[in-house]
Amino acid sequence: MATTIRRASERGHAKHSWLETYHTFTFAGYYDPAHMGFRSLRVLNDDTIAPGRGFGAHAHRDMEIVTYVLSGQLEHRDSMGERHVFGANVIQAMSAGSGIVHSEFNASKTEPVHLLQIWIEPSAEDLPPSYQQFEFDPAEKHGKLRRIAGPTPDAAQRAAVIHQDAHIFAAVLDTGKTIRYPLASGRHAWVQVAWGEVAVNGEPLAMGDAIAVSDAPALTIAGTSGGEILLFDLS
Amino acid sequence: MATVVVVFWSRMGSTERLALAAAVGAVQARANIRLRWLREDVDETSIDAVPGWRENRERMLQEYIAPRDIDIEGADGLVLLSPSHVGPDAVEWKSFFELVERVASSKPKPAACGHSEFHQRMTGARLSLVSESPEDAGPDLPERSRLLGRCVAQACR
Repeated sequence: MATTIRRASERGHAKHSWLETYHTFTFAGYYDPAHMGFRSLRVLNDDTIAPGRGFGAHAHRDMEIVTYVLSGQLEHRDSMGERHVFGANVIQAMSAGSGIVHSEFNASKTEPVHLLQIWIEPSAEDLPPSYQQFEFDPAEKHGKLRRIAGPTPDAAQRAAVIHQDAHIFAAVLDTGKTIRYPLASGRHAWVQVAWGEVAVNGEPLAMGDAIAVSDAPALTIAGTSGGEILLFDLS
Repeated sequence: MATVVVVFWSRMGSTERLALAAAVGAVQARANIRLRWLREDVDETSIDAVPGWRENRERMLQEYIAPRDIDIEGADGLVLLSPSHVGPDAVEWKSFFELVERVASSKPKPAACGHSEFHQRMTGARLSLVSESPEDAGPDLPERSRLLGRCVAQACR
């Protein structure tokens, strides 16, 4: 078993008047050749955007971009004509493919929006751009892993379909609650703590921390004092 | 990687959509893009007289910055988009052309323009790919705009 812990405090950090952001991996003005990504997971940003502010129109290409709002409301507009305002318990997945232009703004004039943005490298270039968004019942992630994205449609529960052999799950764990996730041979897991405190295979992790696990038969994730995690199962 | 700057005049968002399409075309041709919106110099009373104008104007003020010297300095190519009733003599375009002249780089820039008159103003441009007004080009306007962006990005290589 190989595990690596990425502590919250070791991440890249930038604080602007309108944005506070932590980069788990190299991004924008933060460059660290030792942290360029993990398997197909290329970017994991923890952004807090001030009321009414945001990212103006900008382009993406060849990237699967999943946005997971933790609190507040985000407004999205793009070159495909999509225009949405969404908050927590909504999955937004955008396949940039051959090219898209979009903007993201805090839809509130009074409250910040806090989100995790995930970029996964697609398995192929020049795919047709697409947009997916759906809401789920938070009970579905309470005490269990709720798949939010994967490479194929899930008949039982809607999940975003992404062009990569990567699965993303969300779970909220109460104090003392433990869940187990079997990791198939040759697969790699990344667990990101969105908030709270958890332990993964006995390793204590706090908000913003993450752990990479490879060559292990399973992950045991315990809600030490309660928290929310995202689990990535990657090829 | 080439940088294409898409400069547009838009009041209610229809030319903005064409600018987005042009930007997508440039991205498809693997260019970096910058979208720059020309601020319309207009009095507050006029804005409030048109339903939806203020809301759209405030949104675009938030989403786009105006063209800056460094945008032109850093541009390998330009795409200019304007509604057919807003020609290159409009005060917003005039100040844009002044900006271009002020920072005119030694390197001629491929450009695509909406009007033939725009083409004439872009004296530094190496070529102009389209000379008719995009507003008059029919229902496939977003597609034509995308191709404009794509052509400029390819010409920049």
